[in-house]
Amino acid sequence: MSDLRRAAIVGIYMTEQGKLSDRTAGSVYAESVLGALADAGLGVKDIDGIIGTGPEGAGIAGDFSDNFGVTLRFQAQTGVGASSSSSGIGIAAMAIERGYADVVIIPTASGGAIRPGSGTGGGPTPSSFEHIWGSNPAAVYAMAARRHMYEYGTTPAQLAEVAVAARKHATLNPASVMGERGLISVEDVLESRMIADPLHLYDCCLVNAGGGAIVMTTMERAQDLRTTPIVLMGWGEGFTFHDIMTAPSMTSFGGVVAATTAFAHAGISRDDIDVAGISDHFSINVLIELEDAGFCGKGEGGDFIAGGAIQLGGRLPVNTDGGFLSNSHGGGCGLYTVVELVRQLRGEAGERQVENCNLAYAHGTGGTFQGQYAAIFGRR
Amino acid sequence: MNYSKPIPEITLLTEPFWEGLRSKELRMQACSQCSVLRFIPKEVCPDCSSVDYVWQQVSGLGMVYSYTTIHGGVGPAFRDDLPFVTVIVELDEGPRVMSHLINCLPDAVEIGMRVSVVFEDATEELTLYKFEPHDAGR
Ligand SMILES: [Zn+2]
Repeated sequence: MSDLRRAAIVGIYMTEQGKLSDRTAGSVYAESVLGALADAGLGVKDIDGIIGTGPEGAGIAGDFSDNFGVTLRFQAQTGVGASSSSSGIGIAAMAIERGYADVVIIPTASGGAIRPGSGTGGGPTPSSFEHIWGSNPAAVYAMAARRHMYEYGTTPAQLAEVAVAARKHATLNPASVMGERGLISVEDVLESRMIADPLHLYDCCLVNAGGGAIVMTTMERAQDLRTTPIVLMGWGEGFTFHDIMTAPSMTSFGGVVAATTAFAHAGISRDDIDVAGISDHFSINVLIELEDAGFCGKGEGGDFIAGGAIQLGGRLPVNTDGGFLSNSHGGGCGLYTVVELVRQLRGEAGERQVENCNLAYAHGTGGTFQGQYAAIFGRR
Repeated sequence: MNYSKPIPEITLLTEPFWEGLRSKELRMQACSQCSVLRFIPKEVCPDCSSVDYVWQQVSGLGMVYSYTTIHGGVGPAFRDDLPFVTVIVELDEGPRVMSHLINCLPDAVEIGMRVSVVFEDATEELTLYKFEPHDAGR
């Protein structure tokens, strides 16, 4: 593949995130698509491929054609829960680099009446053997956290550091849902209402609406566009189980193979990464993925994140937008993780800008650890 | 009987499991080729890919592999039960099973604790499997 054909992110957009009770999912979706195109300096007629997640079927190819009057020649759908949209980045890059599509849009949107998981375009659903017990993502993540504590001595206070960092970053992100509420401390997290022991309220992601989109094209086309292209340098996915009862481990999942593949593909090391975005459906999520992605040894996540190491200014700033804990958890929110990394690499992150930011790592999880991808982005 | 909680979808594959419960038996699929037991029910053996299996009764004894005490964030069907303990039990025979731990104070649960299965009739057709501390009031 010639470098000119290489896939890059050229457009990003996020709508307002929050209750959005007066917005339909469709309107959030349309705003997201148009916003990302405007950011890139492209028009709807330039789009010839879509990775569909979107609201209630919107985001699939035919619906996009209905809405925007364009003919598409490539589509794919991904069903890995909250990371559905962004997990399409790998497929989009392959389609672009092979010439099956030139400009691919990856939208996500939810609006109106919000229920957890709405707008994700589907994902791993629990079997009857979980459902009958009233199990939910919080319960599964809590049991992973409990097991991690048992195996490695991780503490609730260490988990709380994830939420503290996310809130600090949200206070520097004017568009975040929770930034206005101000900083929180480890004690605040530990004193917040218990949801599923050992996870407190502040260990759990937000439930809100919102949308966003990413536009990708070739490096060749990107030369004529208004934004700094952000290249996908490495990609990997990992799947090890569907039902938590059958998971080989409850403290390590498909993130290991995803990250190993992505770093090998990119030809860089963990130490080269300047900023990371890691799905934080629950605080334990970040800790486990930092380990599985190889930023620290297995079981060392608690020590790794202690003392502000994942805050801005720390050794590896993580979720500088505030993450799902304090920025937004609306729709296929894995996409927002990537949007933030693109902002960082472009140097457009304002008060929360990471200095000399050249390489970024995204780690998305969907469902309850089932769907995992790793992506490495760089500025060319 | 009035049972307001979610009831399982019983399929051709899983029917023998639920039928076993009605006879107060916990049954798992045992691979005909490599003998490995599996749960939840699947058509294929994850160890050797054999599609042949028999249903086999297991002891119902095991240990708590992980657990969480649920304090909130559940649907209406489970609100009256709060707080309750959801567990993943690793059976002595190997497979892991999610369930509720009963007859045990939340503070007393720990990983590694010995537990045994308890059968509870939910409706005339549906018997559920829960776990309790192995030494509980027997
Ligand atoms: Zn076998």
